[in-house]
Amino acid sequence: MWVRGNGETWERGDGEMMERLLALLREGGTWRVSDLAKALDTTPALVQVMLDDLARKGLLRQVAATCNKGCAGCALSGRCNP
Amino acid sequence: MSTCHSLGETHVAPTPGSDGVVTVALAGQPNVGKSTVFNLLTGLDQHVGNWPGKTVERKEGTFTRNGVTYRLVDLPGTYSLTANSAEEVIAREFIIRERPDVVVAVVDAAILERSLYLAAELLALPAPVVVGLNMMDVARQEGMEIQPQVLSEMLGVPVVPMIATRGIGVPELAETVERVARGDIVCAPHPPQVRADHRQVLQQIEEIVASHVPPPYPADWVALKLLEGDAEITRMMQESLPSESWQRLHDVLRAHDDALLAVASGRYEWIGQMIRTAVTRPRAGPISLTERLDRWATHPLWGLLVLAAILGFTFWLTYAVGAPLQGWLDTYVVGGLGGLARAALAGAPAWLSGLVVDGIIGGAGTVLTFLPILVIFFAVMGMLEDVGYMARAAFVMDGFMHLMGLHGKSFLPLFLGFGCNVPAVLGTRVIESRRARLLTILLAPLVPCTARMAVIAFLAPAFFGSAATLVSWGMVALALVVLALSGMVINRLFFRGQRAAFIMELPLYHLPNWRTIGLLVWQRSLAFVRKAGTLIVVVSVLVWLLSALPGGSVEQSYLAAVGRWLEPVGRLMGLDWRLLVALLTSFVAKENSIATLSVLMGTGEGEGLAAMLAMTFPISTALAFLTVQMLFVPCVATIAAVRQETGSYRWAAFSLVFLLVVSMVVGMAVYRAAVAVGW
Repeated sequence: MWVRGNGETWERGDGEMMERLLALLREGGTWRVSDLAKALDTTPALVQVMLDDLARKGLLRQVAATCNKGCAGCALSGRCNP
Repeated sequence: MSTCHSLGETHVAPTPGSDGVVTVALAGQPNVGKSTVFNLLTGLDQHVGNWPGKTVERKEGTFTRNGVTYRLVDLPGTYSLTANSAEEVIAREFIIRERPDVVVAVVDAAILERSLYLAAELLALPAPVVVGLNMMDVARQEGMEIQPQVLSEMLGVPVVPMIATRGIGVPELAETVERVARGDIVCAPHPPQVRADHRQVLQQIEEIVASHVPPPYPADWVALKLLEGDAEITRMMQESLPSESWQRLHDVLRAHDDALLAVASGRYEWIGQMIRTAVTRPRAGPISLTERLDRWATHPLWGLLVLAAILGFTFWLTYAVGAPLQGWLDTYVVGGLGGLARAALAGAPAWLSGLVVDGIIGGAGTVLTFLPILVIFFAVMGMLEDVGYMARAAFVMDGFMHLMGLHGKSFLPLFLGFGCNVPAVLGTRVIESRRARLLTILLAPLVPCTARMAVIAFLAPAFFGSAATLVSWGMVALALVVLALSGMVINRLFFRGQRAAFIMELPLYHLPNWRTIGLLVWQRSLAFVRKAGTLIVVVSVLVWLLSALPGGSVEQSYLAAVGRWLEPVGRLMGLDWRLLVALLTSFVAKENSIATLSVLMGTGEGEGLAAMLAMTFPISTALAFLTVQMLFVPCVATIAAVRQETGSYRWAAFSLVFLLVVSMVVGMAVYRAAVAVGW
């Protein structure tokens, strides 16, 4: 059993990994790739590959290739609780 | 080695095709070590060309095992087999139409999640697959433990662990290919399924199209690609299906427009299962060597400094080792050959001696003397590429390249231009986007190549004495600023600032393979000698004829007449007819400028010419001449490469006119500014 950020729980097999990834992202907020990987019971590398693919398919929009500045000064910082 | 299902050691001869040759296709994503495997298997027995009708490189080679010849075809590096790019279409069309006896899928063990996506697509095609699980050493360094046997059972095809850079596993790969080709190993691949809620839809599509799929396409694969929304396959089936069936298919596809996700989802679920079953990783692994190095190499500030240091070292090494070799070749080989020819032709007419010594030996010698510099430069570049650094260079330069509407990937061919512009133009083949490729080709001639640098290195001390280093660096900086500005302008005017998405893999650092580097240097140098050598020799002879005819001295030649005719334009930049003629002959090869000036000034090419130039021309003229020389139209070999790679005389002509205008405008500005400050 796994617990989402909002406390909701689910078992592996409730939909496939890519749908669960999209569902997590639709919840909003900020996710680290490593946290998404933990939530999906897979590796960060596979999550990264899926994120790249979703961006290529136009389902996600990449806003910056890298973020080295941390949250200070980030326009999205108000929407998340790092 | 792991096999899916061995039938034991039955020594049956492999089953070659009708031409007696077993065809093996080598597939894989970019940067997984596919070229290393190709080179190790084929050695020098390979040839390079283009895929029919495309400017995508096709490499093919042969190797022999137990008396059977194997034709190895290196398919273009692709991330998937959907019709997103020419490379992906070429790879899948080859497998479907040519039906190779075996497909080798090279995957990177250290980034198995990404590499397996292509393998997932290959397993759905009608050819036996052998997986080459490369970079096992890097995976181990990353703390990953992969069980090839388990992976093989899961995939249903043989899996061969390899460390191709050290040649480990490559003989086993060849043996497995042999055993699959002769039927000793029977594969039963387990490709991914589409998401459960779309399996019925897939079946429905297959029923609609089954009897109309044009051979040799497999109906189940066509149905999958239709569900995925593949544009090429959809177009093909629209043409093949009766209108009623097409309408039915269209309705089914429209009702399931989320199917693209269902197909991808099935593949990722499949990859996830492979990883969970066959790979063990430490929970919180140690920080890897790659991560430690990348903290510096990809840092926004330190990354640039690391790049600058590496580039500085590359140039230093190239010139410190290459320049003395160049001088030695020039003096003893070219000079010696010229002396021998002159002595042998002592009794012959003067025109024949001139043609052979100055035209043919002079032209061929130019190519020869540049080889040491190019070989060293290409070797260093090859090593940086092979250890995985050049991808980081592209990454840190990405922001700068965006100013011109390009991505970091364009940096690699542009950097190659510091050696020679010809391989730089050819090197743009790594860029997928046609627009970005065209723009990079147009900008490549603005990178100061070794020949231009050699001219500047000779003329700057002649004109400026102790300030020569400063002036030389100023000229390089000027060329790069003009390159950036030109990129911005061309991008805005001709491409209206379009930009394509860019995803690039940063491979893990690994030890270089000297054989791969050696072959890379060999191929690039050979391409230079073939393309530049022939053209330079032919045009050298032509220029020599123009400078020798109609007889008498150079001052009365056709070439001098052209220079005098252009003098009114030259005066705007402070250049007299001799300097103009020197520029014109540099169209053949940049270093011709010095040879021409030595003839026109009536001196040798050494200190006599330097002293004569310093006495004859003011600083303003010298600055303007160096500026125009730096930015002038590229040599004829580069223009020929531009035409070949753009497939258009129009773009080659544009490149020529554009650089002519740019060099004259900047030359005039520099001259006027120098005159204004009293130089």
